[in-house]
Amino acid sequence: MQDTFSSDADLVSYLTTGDEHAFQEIYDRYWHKLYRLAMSKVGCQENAKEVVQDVFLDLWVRHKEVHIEHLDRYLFSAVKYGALKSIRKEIVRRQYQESFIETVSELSADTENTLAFEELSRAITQGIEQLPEKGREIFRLNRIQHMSAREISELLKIPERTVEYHIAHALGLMRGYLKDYIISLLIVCFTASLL
Amino acid sequence: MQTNRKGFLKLLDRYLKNKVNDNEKQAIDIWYGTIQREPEEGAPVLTENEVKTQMWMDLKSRMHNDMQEDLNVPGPRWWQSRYYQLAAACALLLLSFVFYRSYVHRDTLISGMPDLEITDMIQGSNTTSLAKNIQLSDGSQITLDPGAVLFYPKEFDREKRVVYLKGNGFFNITKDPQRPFLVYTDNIMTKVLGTSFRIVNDNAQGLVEVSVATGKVFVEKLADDDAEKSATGNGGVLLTPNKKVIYYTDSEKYVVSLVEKPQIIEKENEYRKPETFIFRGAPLSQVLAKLEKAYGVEISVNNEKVEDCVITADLSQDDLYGKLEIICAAINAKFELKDDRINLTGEGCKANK
Repeated sequence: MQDTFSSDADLVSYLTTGDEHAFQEIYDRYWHKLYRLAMSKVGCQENAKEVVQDVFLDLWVRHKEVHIEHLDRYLFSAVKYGALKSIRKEIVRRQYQESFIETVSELSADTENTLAFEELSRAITQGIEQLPEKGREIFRLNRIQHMSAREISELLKIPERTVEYHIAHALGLMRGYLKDYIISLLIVCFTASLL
Repeated sequence: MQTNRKGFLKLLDRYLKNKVNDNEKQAIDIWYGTIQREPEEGAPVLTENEVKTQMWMDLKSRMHNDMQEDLNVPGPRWWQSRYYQLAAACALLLLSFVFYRSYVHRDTLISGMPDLEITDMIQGSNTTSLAKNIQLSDGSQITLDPGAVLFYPKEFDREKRVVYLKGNGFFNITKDPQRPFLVYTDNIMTKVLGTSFRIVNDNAQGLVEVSVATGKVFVEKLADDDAEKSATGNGGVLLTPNKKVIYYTDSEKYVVSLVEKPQIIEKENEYRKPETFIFRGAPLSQVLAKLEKAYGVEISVNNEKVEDCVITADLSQDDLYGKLEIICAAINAKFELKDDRINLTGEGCKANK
Protein backbone atom coordinates (compact mmCIF):
# COMPACT_ATOMS: atom_id res chain seq x y z
CA MET A 1 0.00 0.00 0.00
CA GLN A 2 2.62 2.47 1.10
CA ASP A 3 4.72 1.89 -1.98
CA THR A 4 1.99 3.18 -4.20
CA PHE A 5 2.23 6.72 -2.81
CA SER A 6 4.60 8.51 -5.02
CA SER A 7 4.35 12.23 -4.51
CA ASP A 8 3.60 14.47 -1.57
CA ALA A 9 0.54 15.71 -3.42
CA ASP A 10 -0.80 12.15 -3.64
CA LEU A 11 -0.17 11.67 0.05
CA VAL A 12 -2.05 14.83 0.87
CA SER A 13 -5.06 13.80 -1.16
CA TYR A 14 -5.14 10.38 0.50
CA LEU A 15 -4.78 12.08 3.84
CA THR A 16 -7.86 14.21 3.30
CA THR A 17 -9.87 11.01 3.06
CA GLY A 18 -8.56 9.98 6.48
CA ASP A 19 -6.09 7.37 5.19
CA GLU A 20 -3.89 6.38 8.11
CA HIS A 21 -1.28 4.78 5.87
CA ALA A 22 -0.85 8.04 4.05
CA PHE A 23 -0.45 9.76 7.38
CA GLN A 24 2.17 7.28 8.47
CA GLU A 25 4.02 7.70 5.21
CA ILE A 26 4.06 11.47 5.74
CA TYR A 27 5.39 10.88 9.21
CA ASP A 28 8.10 8.55 7.97
CA ARG A 29 9.06 10.94 5.25
CA TYR A 30 9.22 14.10 7.33
CA TRP A 31 9.63 13.39 11.01
CA HIS A 32 13.41 13.51 10.88
CA LYS A 33 13.74 16.77 8.98
CA LEU A 34 11.17 18.40 11.21
CA TYR A 35 12.74 17.07 14.37
CA ARG A 36 16.19 18.30 13.35
CA LEU A 37 14.73 21.69 12.54
CA ALA A 38 12.86 21.88 15.82
CA MET A 39 15.99 20.83 17.74
CA SER A 40 17.98 23.63 16.19
CA LYS A 41 15.30 26.15 17.15
CA VAL A 42 14.36 25.07 20.66
CA GLY A 43 17.64 23.37 21.57
CA CYS A 44 16.09 20.78 23.80
CA GLN A 45 14.95 17.30 23.00
CA GLU A 46 11.83 17.36 25.09
CA ASN A 47 10.55 20.57 23.55
CA ALA A 48 11.53 19.61 20.03
CA LYS A 49 9.61 16.37 20.37
CA GLU A 50 6.59 18.22 21.60
CA VAL A 51 6.71 20.70 18.75
CA VAL A 52 6.97 18.01 16.08
CA GLN A 53 4.37 15.80 17.66
CA ASP A 54 1.92 18.66 17.80
CA VAL A 55 2.51 19.44 14.16
CA PHE A 56 1.61 15.88 13.16
CA LEU A 57 -1.28 15.61 15.56
CA ASP A 58 -2.72 18.85 14.25
CA LEU A 59 -2.29 17.62 10.69
CA TRP A 60 -4.21 14.48 11.54
CA VAL A 61 -6.97 16.10 13.52
CA ARG A 62 -7.63 18.64 10.81
CA HIS A 63 -7.02 16.35 7.85
CA LYS A 64 -10.46 17.04 6.43
CA GLU A 65 -10.16 20.79 6.44
CA VAL A 66 -6.56 21.54 5.65
CA HIS A 67 -5.66 22.74 2.19
CA ILE A 68 -2.06 21.95 1.57
CA GLU A 69 -0.37 22.92 -1.62
CA HIS A 70 3.19 22.11 -0.70
CA LEU A 71 3.42 19.60 2.08
CA ASP A 72 7.04 20.40 2.93
CA ARG A 73 6.44 24.13 3.20
CA TYR A 74 3.30 23.55 5.19
CA LEU A 75 5.11 21.33 7.67
CA PHE A 76 8.11 23.62 8.01
CA SER A 77 5.96 26.62 8.76
CA ALA A 78 3.96 24.55 11.23
CA VAL A 79 7.23 23.76 13.02
CA LYS A 80 8.14 27.42 12.91
CA TYR A 81 4.90 28.32 14.60
CA GLY A 82 5.37 25.61 17.22
CA ALA A 83 8.99 26.51 17.85
CA LEU A 84 8.15 30.19 18.30
CA LYS A 85 5.42 29.23 20.72
CA SER A 86 7.89 27.11 22.62
CA ILE A 87 10.43 29.93 22.70
CA ARG A 88 7.72 32.25 23.88
CA LYS A 89 7.06 29.94 26.82
CA GLU A 90 10.74 29.94 27.61
CA ILE A 91 10.84 33.72 27.70
CA VAL A 92 7.79 33.86 29.92
CA ARG A 93 9.34 31.45 32.37
CA ARG A 94 12.59 33.26 32.36
CA GLN A 95 10.82 36.53 32.93
CA TYR A 96 8.91 35.05 35.82
CA GLN A 97 12.04 33.80 37.46
CA GLU A 98 13.53 37.23 37.25
CA SER A 99 10.43 39.16 38.14
CA PHE A 100 11.44 39.21 41.78
CA ILE A 101 14.36 41.41 40.92
CA GLU A 102 12.92 43.37 38.07
CA THR A 103 11.25 46.63 38.79
CA VAL A 104 7.94 47.34 37.19
CA SER A 105 8.35 49.07 33.89
CA GLU A 106 6.73 52.45 33.57
CA LEU A 107 6.25 52.13 29.84
CA SER A 108 2.86 51.25 28.46
CA ALA A 109 2.38 47.90 26.77
CA ASP A 110 2.10 49.50 23.33
CA THR A 111 5.24 51.52 23.73
CA GLU A 112 7.14 48.46 24.85
CA ASN A 113 5.91 46.55 21.87
CA THR A 114 6.91 49.28 19.46
CA LEU A 115 10.29 49.71 21.11
CA ALA A 116 10.95 45.99 20.94
CA PHE A 117 10.15 45.94 17.26
CA GLU A 118 12.31 48.99 16.55
CA GLU A 119 15.15 47.52 18.51
CA LEU A 120 15.00 44.22 16.64
CA SER A 121 14.50 45.95 13.35
CA ARG A 122 17.54 48.14 13.96
CA ALA A 123 19.64 45.14 14.88
CA ILE A 124 18.59 43.41 11.69
CA THR A 125 19.28 46.42 9.48
CA GLN A 126 22.68 46.93 11.08
CA GLY A 127 23.41 43.26 10.70
CA ILE A 128 22.53 43.31 7.01
CA GLU A 129 24.69 46.41 6.49
CA GLN A 130 27.65 44.54 7.90
CA LEU A 131 27.31 41.55 5.60
CA PRO A 132 29.79 41.25 2.74
CA GLU A 133 28.37 42.70 -0.46
CA LYS A 134 27.45 39.52 -2.27
CA GLY A 135 26.06 37.96 0.85
CA ARG A 136 24.03 41.07 1.59
CA GLU A 137 22.36 41.06 -1.81
CA ILE A 138 21.54 37.39 -1.67
CA PHE A 139 20.35 37.60 1.91
CA ARG A 140 17.98 40.43 0.98
CA LEU A 141 16.59 38.55 -2.00
CA ASN A 142 16.16 35.41 0.02
CA ARG A 143 14.84 36.75 3.33
CA ILE A 144 13.13 39.97 2.31
CA GLN A 145 11.97 39.27 -1.23
CA HIS A 146 11.37 35.63 -0.31
CA MET A 147 13.08 34.29 -3.41
CA SER A 148 14.26 30.69 -3.38
CA ALA A 149 17.88 29.74 -3.95
CA ARG A 150 17.01 28.56 -7.43
CA GLU A 151 15.28 31.81 -8.37
CA ILE A 152 18.23 33.80 -7.10
CA SER A 153 20.62 31.60 -9.02
CA GLU A 154 18.70 32.30 -12.22
CA LEU A 155 18.47 36.01 -11.52
CA LEU A 156 22.13 36.51 -10.70
CA LYS A 157 23.41 33.80 -13.03
CA ILE A 158 25.44 32.05 -10.41
CA PRO A 159 25.26 28.38 -9.44
CA GLU A 160 22.54 27.44 -6.99
CA ARG A 161 25.06 25.89 -4.64
CA THR A 162 26.93 29.16 -4.47
CA VAL A 163 23.69 30.91 -3.58
CA GLU A 164 23.05 28.35 -0.86
CA TYR A 165 26.52 28.87 0.49
CA HIS A 166 26.01 32.64 0.63
CA ILE A 167 22.68 32.27 2.39
CA ALA A 168 24.14 29.93 4.99
CA HIS A 169 27.14 32.16 5.49
CA ALA A 170 25.02 35.30 5.83
CA LEU A 171 22.74 33.55 8.29
CA GLY A 172 25.75 32.64 10.35
CA LEU A 173 26.92 36.24 10.45
CA MET A 174 23.43 37.51 11.22
CA ARG A 175 23.24 35.00 14.03
CA GLY A 176 26.23 36.72 15.55
CA TYR A 177 24.66 40.18 15.18
CA LEU A 178 21.36 39.06 16.61
CA LYS A 179 22.71 36.88 19.34
CA ASP A 180 21.23 39.07 22.04
CA TYR A 181 17.86 38.24 20.67
CA ILE A 182 18.40 34.58 20.65
CA ILE A 183 19.95 32.96 23.52
CA SER A 184 19.67 35.51 26.21
CA LEU A 185 16.29 33.80 26.28
CA LEU A 186 17.72 30.49 27.10
CA ILE A 187 17.04 28.73 30.34
CA VAL A 188 17.63 25.17 31.38
CA CYS A 189 15.89 22.49 29.45
CA PHE A 190 14.25 21.23 32.57
CA THR A 191 11.97 24.16 33.15
CA ALA A 192 11.22 24.76 29.54
CA SER A 193 10.23 21.20 29.00
CA LEU A 194 7.47 21.25 31.51
CA LEU A 195 4.66 20.07 29.40
CA MET B 1 16.94 42.71 25.26
CA GLN B 2 17.32 42.53 28.98
CA THR B 3 15.14 45.56 29.49
CA ASN B 4 12.74 44.95 26.72
CA ARG B 5 11.96 41.30 26.99
CA LYS B 6 8.36 42.15 27.75
CA GLY B 7 7.97 44.15 24.59
CA PHE B 8 9.60 41.40 22.60
CA LEU B 9 7.18 38.94 24.10
CA LYS B 10 4.26 41.09 23.01
CA LEU B 11 5.67 41.24 19.52
CA LEU B 12 6.04 37.48 19.46
CA ASP B 13 2.52 37.09 20.78
CA ARG B 14 1.12 39.22 18.03
CA TYR B 15 3.10 37.28 15.47
CA LEU B 16 1.68 34.02 16.77
CA LYS B 17 -1.82 35.46 16.60
CA ASN B 18 -1.15 36.68 13.10
CA LYS B 19 -1.68 40.30 14.09
CA VAL B 20 1.63 41.78 13.00
CA ASN B 21 2.16 44.10 10.09
CA ASP B 22 4.45 43.15 7.21
CA ASN B 23 7.54 44.82 8.65
CA GLU B 24 7.12 43.18 12.00
CA LYS B 25 6.50 39.82 10.37
CA GLN B 26 9.65 40.18 8.35
CA ALA B 27 11.74 41.06 11.37
CA ILE B 28 10.53 38.02 13.28
CA ASP B 29 11.00 35.79 10.23
CA ILE B 30 14.59 36.92 9.84
CA TRP B 31 15.21 36.53 13.52
CA TYR B 32 13.75 33.02 13.46
CA GLY B 33 15.93 32.16 10.49
CA THR B 34 19.07 32.95 12.44
CA ILE B 35 18.23 30.78 15.43
CA GLN B 36 20.54 27.82 15.56
CA ARG B 37 20.78 26.38 19.03
CA GLU B 38 23.04 23.67 20.25
CA PRO B 39 21.38 20.83 22.12
CA GLU B 40 21.45 21.28 25.86
CA GLU B 41 23.91 19.31 27.83
CA GLY B 42 22.54 16.96 30.40
CA ALA B 43 19.14 16.89 28.77
CA PRO B 44 17.57 13.46 28.58
CA VAL B 45 19.20 11.84 25.61
CA LEU B 46 17.13 9.59 23.45
CA THR B 47 18.53 8.29 20.22
CA GLU B 48 16.77 9.61 17.15
CA ASN B 49 15.26 6.21 16.60
CA GLU B 50 13.80 6.26 20.08
CA VAL B 51 12.40 9.70 19.43
CA LYS B 52 10.84 8.47 16.22
CA THR B 53 9.19 5.50 17.89
CA GLN B 54 8.06 7.42 20.95
CA MET B 55 6.52 10.18 18.94
CA TRP B 56 4.74 7.75 16.70
CA MET B 57 3.34 5.73 19.61
CA ASP B 58 2.09 8.88 21.28
CA LEU B 59 0.61 10.11 18.05
CA LYS B 60 -1.18 6.82 17.46
CA SER B 61 -2.82 6.87 20.86
CA ARG B 62 -3.75 10.53 20.62
CA MET B 63 -4.95 10.25 17.04
CA HIS B 64 -7.76 7.97 18.05
CA ASN B 65 -8.72 9.91 21.11
CA ASP B 66 -8.98 13.06 19.14
CA MET B 67 -10.92 11.32 16.41
CA GLN B 68 -13.51 10.28 18.92
CA GLU B 69 -13.98 13.83 20.01
CA ASP B 70 -14.20 14.71 16.40
CA LEU B 71 -17.08 12.31 15.86
CA ASN B 72 -19.00 13.90 18.67
CA VAL B 73 -19.07 17.19 16.88
CA PRO B 74 -22.70 17.43 15.85
CA GLY B 75 -23.98 18.53 12.51
CA PRO B 76 -25.89 21.70 11.76
CA ARG B 77 -28.82 22.73 13.86
CA TRP B 78 -27.98 20.11 16.37
CA TRP B 79 -29.52 22.09 19.17
CA GLN B 80 -32.96 21.52 17.73
CA SER B 81 -32.73 17.80 18.20
CA ARG B 82 -34.53 16.31 21.18
CA TYR B 83 -31.48 14.29 22.09
CA TYR B 84 -29.37 17.32 22.41
CA GLN B 85 -31.97 19.12 24.44
CA LEU B 86 -31.99 16.17 26.75
CA ALA B 87 -28.21 16.06 26.78
CA ALA B 88 -28.06 19.76 27.50
CA ALA B 89 -30.38 19.27 30.44
CA CYS B 90 -28.14 16.47 31.71
CA ALA B 91 -25.04 18.55 31.21
CA LEU B 92 -26.63 21.37 33.13
CA LEU B 93 -27.51 19.03 35.93
CA LEU B 94 -24.00 17.64 35.98
CA LEU B 95 -22.53 21.09 35.88
CA SER B 96 -24.61 22.31 38.77
CA PHE B 97 -23.61 19.21 40.68
CA VAL B 98 -19.94 19.86 40.06
CA PHE B 99 -20.52 23.48 40.92
CA TYR B 100 -22.27 22.48 44.11
CA ARG B 101 -19.50 20.07 45.03
CA SER B 102 -16.78 22.55 44.37
CA TYR B 103 -18.35 25.40 46.25
CA VAL B 104 -20.27 23.76 49.02
CA HIS B 105 -17.99 20.80 49.68
CA ARG B 106 -14.94 22.66 48.73
CA ASP B 107 -12.64 20.70 50.91
CA THR B 108 -13.14 17.43 49.05
CA LEU B 109 -11.72 18.91 45.86
CA ILE B 110 -8.64 20.59 44.55
CA SER B 111 -9.39 24.20 43.65
CA GLY B 112 -8.74 24.84 40.04
CA MET B 113 -9.02 21.19 39.03
CA PRO B 114 -11.93 19.41 37.43
CA ASP B 115 -13.57 16.98 39.81
CA LEU B 116 -13.83 14.11 37.36
CA GLU B 117 -10.12 13.66 36.94
CA ILE B 118 -9.70 13.09 40.63
CA THR B 119 -12.57 10.82 41.56
CA ASP B 120 -11.31 7.90 39.46
CA MET B 121 -8.19 7.68 41.54
CA ILE B 122 -7.26 5.79 44.65
CA GLN B 123 -7.78 7.92 47.72
CA GLY B 124 -5.14 7.61 50.39
CA SER B 125 -6.05 9.57 53.48
CA ASN B 126 -4.38 9.93 56.79
CA THR B 127 -7.02 9.81 59.51
CA THR B 128 -4.49 9.01 62.22
CA SER B 129 -2.76 11.57 64.35
CA LEU B 130 0.68 10.48 63.16
CA ALA B 131 2.43 10.81 59.83
CA LYS B 132 1.47 8.11 57.34
CA ASN B 133 3.51 6.68 54.49
CA ILE B 134 2.16 5.82 51.07
CA GLN B 135 4.20 4.08 48.43
CA LEU B 136 3.23 4.66 44.81
CA SER B 137 3.60 2.28 41.89
CA ASP B 138 6.78 4.01 40.68
CA GLY B 139 8.44 3.56 44.07
CA SER B 140 7.94 7.16 45.19
CA GLN B 141 7.30 7.61 48.90
CA ILE B 142 4.83 10.12 50.20
CA THR B 143 4.47 11.00 53.85
CA LEU B 144 1.10 12.50 54.64
CA ASP B 145 0.54 14.71 57.65
CA PRO B 146 -2.54 13.95 59.76
CA GLY B 147 -5.69 14.96 57.90
CA ALA B 148 -4.04 14.97 54.49
CA VAL B 149 -5.48 13.16 51.48
CA LEU B 150 -3.62 12.01 48.40
CA PHE B 151 -5.36 10.97 45.19
CA TYR B 152 -3.21 8.77 43.00
CA PRO B 153 -3.68 6.25 40.21
CA LYS B 154 -2.93 2.55 40.55
CA GLU B 155 -0.52 2.84 37.65
CA PHE B 156 0.85 6.04 36.22
CA ASP B 157 0.60 7.13 32.58
CA ARG B 158 3.47 6.57 30.28
CA GLU B 159 4.02 10.31 29.88
CA LYS B 160 3.66 11.75 33.32
CA ARG B 161 2.90 10.92 36.89
CA VAL B 162 0.02 12.92 38.32
CA VAL B 163 -1.29 13.03 41.87
CA TYR B 164 -3.54 15.38 43.82
CA LEU B 165 -2.92 16.49 47.37
CA LYS B 166 -5.17 17.94 50.04
CA GLY B 167 -3.36 19.03 53.18
CA ASN B 168 0.34 18.64 53.84
CA GLY B 169 2.84 16.06 52.75
CA PHE B 170 6.48 15.27 52.13
CA PHE B 171 7.31 13.80 48.73
CA ASN B 172 10.31 11.64 47.94
CA ILE B 173 10.03 11.04 44.23
CA THR B 174 11.74 8.26 42.31
CA LYS B 175 13.83 9.68 39.53
CA ASP B 176 12.39 9.25 36.05
CA PRO B 177 13.45 11.97 33.62
CA GLN B 178 11.07 10.65 30.97
CA ARG B 179 8.06 10.99 33.23
CA PRO B 180 7.78 14.16 35.24
CA PHE B 181 5.91 13.94 38.52
CA LEU B 182 3.13 16.49 38.99
CA VAL B 183 1.42 17.32 42.25
CA TYR B 184 -1.75 19.36 42.01
CA THR B 185 -2.84 21.18 45.13
CA ASP B 186 -5.24 24.05 45.64
CA ASN B 187 -4.34 26.58 42.99
CA ILE B 188 -0.83 25.46 42.23
CA MET B 189 1.01 22.67 40.49
CA THR B 190 4.42 21.38 41.53
CA LYS B 191 6.48 19.55 38.96
CA VAL B 192 9.62 17.49 39.41
CA LEU B 193 11.60 14.78 37.72
CA GLY B 194 12.90 13.11 40.87
CA THR B 195 13.54 14.91 44.15
CA SER B 196 12.14 15.37 47.58
CA PHE B 197 10.10 18.30 48.77
CA ARG B 198 7.32 19.25 51.14
CA ILE B 199 3.97 20.88 50.45
CA VAL B 200 2.02 22.72 53.11
CA ASN B 201 -1.53 23.91 52.43
CA ASP B 202 -2.54 26.60 54.87
CA ASN B 203 -6.11 27.45 54.02
CA ALA B 204 -6.56 29.62 57.07
CA GLN B 205 -3.83 31.96 55.89
CA GLY B 206 -4.64 31.47 52.22
CA LEU B 207 -1.25 30.18 51.20
CA VAL B 208 0.50 27.14 49.85
CA GLU B 209 4.15 26.55 50.65
CA VAL B 210 6.49 24.26 48.75
CA SER B 211 9.98 23.66 50.13
CA VAL B 212 12.72 21.67 48.48
CA ALA B 213 14.98 19.16 50.17
CA THR B 214 16.80 17.72 47.15
CA GLY B 215 16.77 18.24 43.40
CA LYS B 216 14.93 20.86 41.42
CA VAL B 217 11.26 21.60 41.69
CA PHE B 218 9.07 23.71 39.51
CA VAL B 219 5.95 25.37 40.89
CA GLU B 220 3.28 27.18 38.99
CA LYS B 221 -0.24 28.30 39.61
CA LEU B 222 -3.11 26.55 37.91
CA ALA B 223 -4.64 28.42 35.02
CA ASP B 224 -8.25 29.48 35.41
CA ASP B 225 -9.00 27.58 32.26
CA ASP B 226 -9.01 23.89 33.10
CA ALA B 227 -8.11 22.84 29.60
CA GLU B 228 -4.87 24.66 30.05
CA LYS B 229 -4.38 23.62 33.59
CA SER B 230 -0.76 22.84 33.23
CA ALA B 231 -0.07 24.73 30.08
CA THR B 232 2.67 27.20 30.38
CA GLY B 233 2.36 30.89 30.05
CA ASN B 234 1.09 31.58 33.52
CA GLY B 235 4.56 31.69 34.94
CA GLY B 236 6.06 29.76 37.77
CA VAL B 237 9.21 29.45 39.78
CA LEU B 238 12.07 27.04 39.75
CA LEU B 239 13.29 26.04 43.17
CA THR B 240 16.60 24.51 44.11
CA PRO B 241 17.37 22.72 47.40
CA ASN B 242 16.85 24.70 50.60
CA LYS B 243 14.57 27.14 48.79
CA LYS B 244 10.88 27.40 49.35
CA VAL B 245 8.10 29.30 47.70
CA ILE B 246 4.97 30.57 49.34
CA TYR B 247 2.06 31.09 47.03
CA TYR B 248 -0.52 33.55 48.29
CA THR B 249 -3.91 32.53 46.99
CA ASP B 250 -5.55 35.95 47.13
CA SER B 251 -2.88 38.06 45.54
CA GLU B 252 -1.68 35.18 43.33
CA LYS B 253 1.90 36.04 44.20
CA TYR B 254 4.88 33.82 44.74
CA VAL B 255 7.44 34.69 47.37
CA VAL B 256 10.69 32.76 47.30
CA SER B 257 12.80 32.38 50.40
CA LEU B 258 14.96 29.88 52.23
CA VAL B 259 13.61 26.98 54.24
CA GLU B 260 13.76 27.29 58.01
CA LYS B 261 16.56 24.78 58.46
CA PRO B 262 18.73 24.64 55.36
CA GLN B 263 20.54 21.32 55.04
CA ILE B 264 23.79 20.55 53.31
CA ILE B 265 22.88 19.67 49.76
CA GLU B 266 22.87 15.96 49.07
CA LYS B 267 25.34 15.95 46.24
CA GLU B 268 27.81 18.12 48.11
CA ASN B 269 28.96 15.27 50.29
CA GLU B 270 32.44 16.56 50.80
CA TYR B 271 30.97 19.35 52.90
CA ARG B 272 29.61 16.86 55.41
CA LYS B 273 33.01 16.15 56.88
CA PRO B 274 33.27 18.04 60.16
CA GLU B 275 36.70 19.46 59.32
CA THR B 276 35.22 21.36 56.37
CA PHE B 277 33.83 23.97 58.69
CA ILE B 278 36.70 24.31 61.08
CA PHE B 279 38.54 27.47 60.12
CA ARG B 280 41.89 28.79 61.29
CA GLY B 281 42.58 32.24 60.05
CA ALA B 282 40.53 31.84 56.91
CA PRO B 283 39.38 34.94 55.04
CA LEU B 284 35.64 35.48 55.25
CA SER B 285 35.28 35.29 51.49
CA GLN B 286 36.50 31.71 51.61
CA VAL B 287 34.19 30.81 54.48
CA LEU B 288 31.18 32.28 52.73
CA ALA B 289 32.04 30.57 49.46
CA LYS B 290 32.02 27.23 51.26
CA LEU B 291 28.67 27.98 52.85
CA GLU B 292 27.19 29.02 49.51
CA LYS B 293 28.29 25.82 47.88
CA ALA B 294 27.31 23.51 50.71
CA TYR B 295 23.82 24.92 51.17
CA GLY B 296 23.14 26.11 47.63
CA VAL B 297 22.41 29.66 48.81
CA GLU B 298 23.63 33.03 47.77
CA ILE B 299 25.35 35.18 50.37
CA SER B 300 26.20 38.77 49.57
CA VAL B 301 28.28 41.18 51.55
CA ASN B 302 27.61 44.90 51.74
CA ASN B 303 31.20 46.00 51.47
CA GLU B 304 34.42 44.45 50.35
CA LYS B 305 36.25 45.19 53.56
CA VAL B 306 34.11 42.64 55.35
CA GLU B 307 35.36 39.91 53.05
CA ASP B 308 38.89 40.46 54.31
CA CYS B 309 37.95 39.67 57.88
CA VAL B 310 39.68 36.60 59.15
CA ILE B 311 37.73 33.78 60.77
CA THR B 312 38.98 31.28 63.30
CA ALA B 313 36.13 29.13 64.48
CA ASP B 314 34.69 25.63 64.66
CA LEU B 315 31.39 25.81 62.83
CA SER B 316 31.02 22.10 62.30
CA GLN B 317 28.25 21.58 64.85
CA ASP B 318 25.89 24.33 63.81
CA ASP B 319 23.25 24.62 61.15
CA LEU B 320 23.50 27.33 58.51
CA TYR B 321 21.98 30.10 60.57
CA GLY B 322 23.99 29.04 63.63
CA LYS B 323 27.16 29.22 61.57
CA LEU B 324 26.24 32.67 60.34
CA GLU B 325 25.51 33.87 63.85
CA ILE B 326 28.94 32.78 65.04
CA ILE B 327 30.63 34.44 62.09
CA CYS B 328 28.71 37.65 62.61
CA ALA B 329 29.52 37.69 66.31
CA ALA B 330 33.19 37.26 65.50
CA ILE B 331 33.41 40.14 63.06
CA ASN B 332 30.70 42.35 64.47
CA ALA B 333 28.39 42.04 61.53
CA LYS B 334 24.72 41.24 60.99
CA PHE B 335 22.93 39.01 58.54
CA GLU B 336 19.42 39.09 57.21
CA LEU B 337 17.35 37.09 54.80
CA LYS B 338 16.20 38.90 51.70
CA ASP B 339 13.96 36.67 49.59
CA ASP B 340 16.10 33.62 48.97
CA ARG B 341 19.40 35.37 49.57
CA ILE B 342 21.40 36.19 52.65
CA ASN B 343 22.83 39.65 53.09
CA LEU B 344 25.71 40.23 55.43
CA THR B 345 26.39 43.75 56.62
CA GLY B 346 29.26 44.95 58.71
CA GLU B 347 31.95 47.57 59.05
CA GLY B 348 34.80 45.34 58.02
CA CYS B 349 37.83 44.47 60.08
CA LYS B 350 40.98 46.40 60.76
CA ALA B 351 43.86 44.98 58.80
CA ASN B 352 45.44 42.53 61.19
CA LYS B 353 47.68 40.68 58.86
